[in-house]
Amino acid sequence: MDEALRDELATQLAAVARALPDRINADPERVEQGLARLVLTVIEVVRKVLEHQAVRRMDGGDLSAEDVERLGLTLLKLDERMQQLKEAFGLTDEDLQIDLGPLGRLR
Amino acid sequence: MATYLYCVRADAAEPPRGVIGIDGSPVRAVDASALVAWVSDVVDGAVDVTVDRLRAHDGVCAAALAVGETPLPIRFGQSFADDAALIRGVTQRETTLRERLERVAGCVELRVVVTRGLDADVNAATHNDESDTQQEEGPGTSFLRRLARVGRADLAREVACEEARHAVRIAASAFIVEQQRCEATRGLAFFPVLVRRSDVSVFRDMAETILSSQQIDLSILGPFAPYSFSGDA
Repeated sequence: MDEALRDELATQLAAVARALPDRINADPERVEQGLARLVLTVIEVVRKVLEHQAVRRMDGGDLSAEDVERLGLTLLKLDERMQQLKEAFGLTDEDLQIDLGPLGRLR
Repeated sequence: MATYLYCVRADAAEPPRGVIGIDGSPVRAVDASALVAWVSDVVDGAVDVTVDRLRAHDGVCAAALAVGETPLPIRFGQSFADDAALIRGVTQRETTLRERLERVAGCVELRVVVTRGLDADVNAATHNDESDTQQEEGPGTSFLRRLARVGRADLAREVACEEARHAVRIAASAFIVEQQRCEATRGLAFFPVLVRRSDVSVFRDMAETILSSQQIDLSILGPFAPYSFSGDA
């Protein structure tokens, strides 16, 4: 993992940690969705950071055409898998939104 | 039954007949210390957010804005065990609520919404991201290129929003009581402006004239209850 990616991940995860609720709803019928939301929100942050880094490296000309395709395909599959997980737990994109304070909103 | 709070106000304006709140409950006024709260009954204390409930909440605040003095809209989801608990809660925060009511007195919120930024090429590409995909590109490369275009369009929109905000602040300062920073979400960026009720038309005309030369797609929405200027109420 390169230094810039590690720093960006650390910054965003620190902001996520501050923004996450102190408590999880322990209602037995809703705890599963609450936990899924928590976990998927963190995964979504990591996914967005990876996407930003991939675009930055593609635009910077650091990657060969094969690397771009392989990286893009990985992120595309991750995107599709996230959509499936959101559907499975009845969550929307907005449910995984999080206010990162000075960093703005996750998107 | 719990008591759900929509807004507080300094005058004694009653909800008009037929104003319906969350989950179809009628809205009523409760005297809370020297303030008046518009409330309705809800089945239990925790009110989960749904589109219909958000619309109902906003509808009540809009109705409150339409009668009497400007109310202080309360953020979605504030409910109390009963009317007595609501009165205690409002009374404890009376000083803060009064200060915020004074801040928005006689004013409404308008939102200048930017839907497309200055770089027409970037935006055209975003709105048509399948057509310019090279035939020989694989799905992974197409996906990354689409992410790049969307990112550039977001950036262009946010820059346009900041420029619009700056232009409006300079040219229409006489009509702006307060202004908030730009906020961005998927597909749009906007900034809220607090203006006096009597200045809504002149501000709208002036802002549209100022911004018409900037070749950005925007609209001015409102008037709304002053949500963006209510602090954490």
